[in-house]
Amino acid sequence: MSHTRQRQLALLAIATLALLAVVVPGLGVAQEASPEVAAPSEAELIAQGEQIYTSICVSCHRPEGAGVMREGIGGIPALAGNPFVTIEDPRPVVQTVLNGRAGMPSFRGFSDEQIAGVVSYIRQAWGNQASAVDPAVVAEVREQFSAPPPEPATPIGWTGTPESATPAADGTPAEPEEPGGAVPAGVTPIPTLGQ
Amino acid sequence: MTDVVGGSIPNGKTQTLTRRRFIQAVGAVGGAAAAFSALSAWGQFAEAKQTEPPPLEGDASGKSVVILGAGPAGLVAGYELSKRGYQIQIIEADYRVGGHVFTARRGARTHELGGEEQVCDFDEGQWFDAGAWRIPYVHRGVHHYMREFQIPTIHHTDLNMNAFAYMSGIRGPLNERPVRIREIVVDMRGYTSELLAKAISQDLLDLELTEEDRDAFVDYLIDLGLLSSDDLTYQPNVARGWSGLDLAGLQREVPTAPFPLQDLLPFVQVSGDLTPLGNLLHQPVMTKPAKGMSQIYEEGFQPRVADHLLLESEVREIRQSDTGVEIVYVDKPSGETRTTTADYCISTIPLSVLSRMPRVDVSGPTLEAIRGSAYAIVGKLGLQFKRRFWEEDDWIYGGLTFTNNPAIGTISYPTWDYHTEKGVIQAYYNFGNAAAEVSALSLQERIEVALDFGSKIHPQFREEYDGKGFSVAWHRMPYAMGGWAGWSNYARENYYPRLLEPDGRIYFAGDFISQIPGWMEGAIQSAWMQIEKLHERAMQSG
Repeated sequence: MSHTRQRQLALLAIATLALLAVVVPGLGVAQEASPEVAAPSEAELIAQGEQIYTSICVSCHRPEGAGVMREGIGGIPALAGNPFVTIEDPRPVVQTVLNGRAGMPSFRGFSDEQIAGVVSYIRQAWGNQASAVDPAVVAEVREQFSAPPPEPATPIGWTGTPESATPAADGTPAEPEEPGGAVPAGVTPIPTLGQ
Repeated sequence: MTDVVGGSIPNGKTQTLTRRRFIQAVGAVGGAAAAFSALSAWGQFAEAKQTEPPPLEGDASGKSVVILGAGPAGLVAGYELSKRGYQIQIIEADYRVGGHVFTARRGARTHELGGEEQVCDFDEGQWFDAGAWRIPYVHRGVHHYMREFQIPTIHHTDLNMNAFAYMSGIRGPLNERPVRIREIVVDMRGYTSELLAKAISQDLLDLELTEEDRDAFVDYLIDLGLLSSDDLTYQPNVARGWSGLDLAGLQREVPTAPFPLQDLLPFVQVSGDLTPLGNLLHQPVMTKPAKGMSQIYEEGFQPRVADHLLLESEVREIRQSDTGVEIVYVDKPSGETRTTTADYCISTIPLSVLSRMPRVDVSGPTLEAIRGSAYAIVGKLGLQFKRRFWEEDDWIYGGLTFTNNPAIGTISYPTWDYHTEKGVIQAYYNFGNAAAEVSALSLQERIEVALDFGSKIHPQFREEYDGKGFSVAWHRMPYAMGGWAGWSNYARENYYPRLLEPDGRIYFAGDFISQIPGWMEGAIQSAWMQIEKLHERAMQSG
């Protein structure tokens, strides 16, 4: 990967966070929390997650987590009532949000708390009933997939929809998550040139 | 690539200035920003290896291939194979060919998943490219077909020194102020050159250069940075801007005063260089078809494969056995489910779409590879204006205005139909979370976002808007489900190679199976590679 591209990706990740700080009240505060400030409560995490959902995730997964199913071609999966979202072990869904999968984009630019918040939110909204996710679990999954796993990904069978399958080890964008101090906090760098 | 800086560093017998040392030296004098822009010069990759289609020798008549998708990869594969005697069928789900190549002109249609149907209502003759829109000169495969089909070709440029840059949230007086790109670029070249030239001429950099080469270096910096040869200070000429320009009269041109370095630094820290000179794929001059990118596919390929092309046919199942493939698809106009067979299949369906298909007969590892890529969130909006104010008032002929607003990205001016009455501006090109947020809005709301922001740079935006806009959120397009594939390093290493090889009788081709996802050249090179493999096998099997 070129230096230019690496820089662009790093800056894009920060751009994302900076935008969130503007668009989603409260997120900026969480980003800049000093060590003395207590970690957010579960309710605060979920409230943060709801804000992320309603500004970003909603564009595809729609209000009420309804998704957009299209007969025969899959479409965008519903999150309400989706067992992939609510199974006891939250790591597969955390991993999907972090790395992307089957066409879903990667959201690694979000912090552990933000991902914990949004996954907790979708596990408990719209009638879903599952436990909230601790940011430490996100950190663990992030770390796990930051290095190639020792074994090749476990093949999985064709089961109809990707959402009902257990994801195998997935990829990890290797771009740095911090800009290396290139841009001051709170400033949005110029986005990538694109294709 | 060697470890020596570009071509501007002496590399003859006195060569001792390595890349690392050069950067350290620059960093020591000019600060981090200068070092970073020096580093950016290494963003070089992706030159087309093949410049023409594989020869495919031998008689292939009697052999059949079904191709899924009529974007660049599918059309290239179908066209080349049919020329060699293969019996081909191309099955496309959409009403048009081109895939991610989509010139938005009057009558163009989209229906995003969960969204409203859009029908483009631009005036006849007005258009913008809502998908692929610019061709690097290194992309020889694209140029091969433009030449073969004699597609009228025009320039595209990312760089317009007279376009604007607009940065928000920065320190100092340049915050939220539209400035001409030339003002930033010329000033920064001036200050950077001044620092370097002074340091070199005072021998502060411990460069192992001969005196003659040091002088040559300083001479070059004087030229590059518009430095006074007396004291090596930056003395801009009118290249950065002028006042009182009176070409026919007595008054001589008066250069405008440069921005102070301390005002520029917060700006360039965010904006970067603003020229695409350090990025091979964006360097001037790029090209495009004169009437939009779809011309290559609609006027070049489509008539040549028309007898074998099925539009509005949605593939539901890809089956295979030891002896052939069977494709189940729905003919959308009639709603009928139909089946077709062939010896081989080439699927160019985006992995984001393929991974949701109800049945694909491939092995577990292939399936995992198909599901292993994430796709990019990408959006574009074109707005028609009553008057080409950017040309008439602002003297901007093509190129990009850069912003650091992630919902907008760049604003792009048309490089066609200069000096005519109306025109379409690409009013945003956004990525990632910001693109997701904008795409959650209705078309009218998206237009408002673009008009609001555009007005900060061009106060004429609202008044001149002609009431016609068209936008695409690629991640919500049912047959795209993303702008392009984003391979992580892990997925690139573990999944991508799997898809370079066929699974049984099913081959995969597309920009997503190349090193340059999101570029047409990736699709073409991928198609060339796969048809060569398929052909070799078909010839062996007799």
